[in-house]
Amino acid sequence: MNIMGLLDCIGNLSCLLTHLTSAVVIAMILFLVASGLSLIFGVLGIGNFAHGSLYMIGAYITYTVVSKSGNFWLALILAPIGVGFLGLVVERFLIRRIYGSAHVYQFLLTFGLLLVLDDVVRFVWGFDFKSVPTPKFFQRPPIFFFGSPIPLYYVFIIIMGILVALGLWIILSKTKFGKVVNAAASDPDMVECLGINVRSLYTLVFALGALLAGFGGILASPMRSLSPGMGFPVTLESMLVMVIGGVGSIGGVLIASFLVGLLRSFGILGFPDFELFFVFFLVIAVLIFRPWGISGRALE
Amino acid sequence: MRQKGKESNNGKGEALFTRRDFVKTSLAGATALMIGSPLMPSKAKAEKPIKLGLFGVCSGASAMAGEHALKAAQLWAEELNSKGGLLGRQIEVTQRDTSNKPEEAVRFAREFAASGDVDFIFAHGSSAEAFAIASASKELKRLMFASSEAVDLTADPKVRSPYCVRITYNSLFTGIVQGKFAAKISKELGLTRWYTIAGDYAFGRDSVNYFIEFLKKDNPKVEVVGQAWPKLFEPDFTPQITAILGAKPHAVYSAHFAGDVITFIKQGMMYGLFEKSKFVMKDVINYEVINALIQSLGKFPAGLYAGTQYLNGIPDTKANQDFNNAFLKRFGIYPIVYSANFYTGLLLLEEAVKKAKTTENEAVIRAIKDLSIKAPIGTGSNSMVTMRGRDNQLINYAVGCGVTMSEAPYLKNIVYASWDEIMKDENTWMKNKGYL
Amino acid sequence: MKRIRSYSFWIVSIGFLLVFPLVFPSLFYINNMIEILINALFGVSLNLLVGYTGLLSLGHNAFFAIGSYSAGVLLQQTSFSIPTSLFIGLILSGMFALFTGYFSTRLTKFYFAFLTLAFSQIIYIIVVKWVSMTGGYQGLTQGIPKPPIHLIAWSIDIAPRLNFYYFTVFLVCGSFILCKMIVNSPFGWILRCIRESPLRAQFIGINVRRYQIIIFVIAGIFCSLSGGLSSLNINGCYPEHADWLKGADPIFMILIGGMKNFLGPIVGAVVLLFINTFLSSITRFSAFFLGVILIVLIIFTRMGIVDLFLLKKETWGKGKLE
Repeated sequence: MNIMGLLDCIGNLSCLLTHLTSAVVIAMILFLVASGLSLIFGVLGIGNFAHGSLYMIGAYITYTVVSKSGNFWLALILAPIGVGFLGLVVERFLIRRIYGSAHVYQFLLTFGLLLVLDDVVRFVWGFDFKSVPTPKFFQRPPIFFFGSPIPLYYVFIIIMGILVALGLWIILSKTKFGKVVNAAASDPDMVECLGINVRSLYTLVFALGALLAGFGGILASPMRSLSPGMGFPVTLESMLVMVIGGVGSIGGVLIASFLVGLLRSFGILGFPDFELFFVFFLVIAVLIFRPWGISGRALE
Repeated sequence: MRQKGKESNNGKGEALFTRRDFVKTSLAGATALMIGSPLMPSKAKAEKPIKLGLFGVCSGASAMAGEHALKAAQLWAEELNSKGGLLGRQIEVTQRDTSNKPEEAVRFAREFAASGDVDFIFAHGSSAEAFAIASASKELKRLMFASSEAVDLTADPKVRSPYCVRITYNSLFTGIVQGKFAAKISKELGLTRWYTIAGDYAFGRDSVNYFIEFLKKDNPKVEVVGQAWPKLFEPDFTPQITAILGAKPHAVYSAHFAGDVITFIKQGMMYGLFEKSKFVMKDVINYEVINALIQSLGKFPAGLYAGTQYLNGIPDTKANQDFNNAFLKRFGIYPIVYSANFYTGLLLLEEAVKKAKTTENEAVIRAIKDLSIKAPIGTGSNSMVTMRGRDNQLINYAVGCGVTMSEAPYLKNIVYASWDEIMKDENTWMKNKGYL
Repeated sequence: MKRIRSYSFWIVSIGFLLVFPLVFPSLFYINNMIEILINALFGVSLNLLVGYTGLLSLGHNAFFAIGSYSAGVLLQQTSFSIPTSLFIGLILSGMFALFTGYFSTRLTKFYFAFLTLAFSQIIYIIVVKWVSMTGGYQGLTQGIPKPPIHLIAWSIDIAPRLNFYYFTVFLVCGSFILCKMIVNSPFGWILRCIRESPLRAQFIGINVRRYQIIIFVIAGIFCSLSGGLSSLNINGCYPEHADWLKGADPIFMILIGGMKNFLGPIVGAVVLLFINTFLSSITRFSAFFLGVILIVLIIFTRMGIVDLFLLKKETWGKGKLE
């Protein structure tokens, strides 16, 4: 336990900013993955245990595009399309079969998918660690903000995260598509009655959720190393965030992502041995006292 | 419940399928399955091949170990077989995946031992599996080769098994060598404030503890200003990196390995971490790490202090060169520490079997005690390593420290440690722990 | 008539298990059988929740870990006997199950499952962090002593494999019989009622949550026993037991064997053992094939082996799915 160290850092502006930035970056990546998960769970009712695998595939597609073309920006466009397409295929042939089923089947199907995707990655890309180089544009010394170093690429991630959050918010609350999605989340039968093809809608929503997870993987790939099985802890963490934030609310997921990011970033200062504990305690506390999360809708 | 089953609809109405019938059929079926399945032990044949049974983690983050262990075994077997085999018998290699479950490791150990089909058992899985294997080797009284760097496997008399041979490095030795090296440079460069970072795992904790112990022993002025224990295979070290930056240490010791060290260096580079402090890296001289870093950063970072671990050219001996050439020719990739260790273990086995003139367990165990052979990781003019008999620990292998550079062999100014020194320090440590 | 038939089934099966080492005397078979029995107990205990009550518990392995480590730590560090150590594990698991079950059953479906998962992760964290007690990530490596069990006048040593086999058979079959009695009792039928529709069950006056908590505790206790047996079997305790991936195994068993029948998880345990061994000996990508099997099963039938057998029985003659 090192409370003094924690307080010292908070008192020091440059240390505070450094840790805040790292908290925000962690939060952004988490937010991308968790918002996709929350969308899928909120609208389709599926707890997708293979969600982290979509994140992983986004990262690996980025690796391939960047190693073949040397162009990260190209990957930024192609990889989300790739993952979105994968999401489309998965929904059409697999997920569709388990709507409304007992949760044990949902779990097993998505878990089976996780096993399959992990081994597909091993087969296609190999067992060893792959690395995506930091895009040339960002290979510069960190910028200094009140004495705190902030890598340029992290600034990029934060900007992208904010853009996506804004974009999602606009889509889901201001467009017709968003209104239909919200309606389908509460009453799909009624939506069908109104003449909207709910099946296609579901496919689109799943693809969008997959795309978001994949996008998280793409943004994270220059920062982290790639290995098969990297998606698994991401699944767990994004589920934690989704539960804490509350399903059906992008704002909730965003706040929850920040909470987790802050816990991780400052937690290791004050409690270097136990930072793992806090996130789980938080989730348990939420599930016991406020299961609908920060701003989610009521549970069924 | 919706029934989507594919029941036959031209039911020719069999007689009542009673529970008894069910039991009988399932018994018959299970027996048939067992007989036909690969689980069934095979009958003894004349002049049968020597079978190596490998098992361990083949998937997940540690899958590289499994893959390289298998490759080392294949290379060794093929080389021997082309020369007529061992004791005139061909060598066959079979591998099983334990999915990182120690009980699977125990199960395979028992299966291999009981089936009589496998002559020698090699485990390449996690440390937990290695301990499970040590225990199983005592129970089954079978020679087993284990890979784990955890000291207790051979040092703790309660754990140690006369039947379990460790063929990997020992993190205590590494800690002694790197700690003393760090003490030397800390005195030269006045590095008194140290930070450590390692995966929160037995291996990480032990590595750091040994390092600090021997660092402080030789330079008592050293002060540990902070320690970071990120989760093993953590994708994001940013919180730890920022904590290190905040603490402003003179030097940092990183016991990360494999993917973690790649991630740590990449992320650290973004923060300019490596310009702020001196670094001692336990496990960066490793082909897969170097490769990934070159891919990612354009070139391998220079100016870091690092342990020698294993590479083509480290140690710079003919034995090592030959091994690397053969491995590269056969598989198209360079060996890494797992393959080198495994290969060494197999060479030991080969020599022991030749010496004992039989594959019978007890005889081979006697032969392998205190056996010295020429190996890729060996030291001295003859590139020898020794299997120390009193605890079945490999010694006399090449271990040292140097400074990284951007061109092959990526480490310069290498100082290899003297094994007399290492064993003296080890003795003291063991006495303090009450193991001796 | 049916009573006699079902008793005879049990008698035949138990007789088979008792006679098994005489028919297949090699240690090879005995060891595999012990594994199967321990895994089957794990699966059956979980199926009490999944198959009979409709509760998907993803954190069931927490009880396995509690049972395993309790037995391990007590036997290593105290002079308690094996039955006492196992029993204390049962008590601890029961208490943990009561605590977690109380909170988990306030939620449904995904949230229930996820909370059980979160609770089991707390056990995992305790196991890896409380190094002085549990050995941390390395586990309890110094072997689990097996002091002979004193029963009235005899002293039974379960260290020899054959003796351990019979010890396992005794405990596991005893547990199976108890579980079977529970599911066939009125209590068990109420569980099925809850599974089919908790809302309706509530309407007819059943205190759904109370029954869920009770079965949660019972399932946790039986699971703890399989954990204790496992640590005795492999002579050690490892944190992998508490990792939630281990919790997925029994769910596979239940799916493959069939969740609507008592025998389902037992058959599933056997089949899963074969699949794992067979797959890992022919390919490095065994996870892929296991995943495909799961996906195919869920898309096409959702019924396990035993369910399918009984379905045939239903279409051809008398009898019903449980």
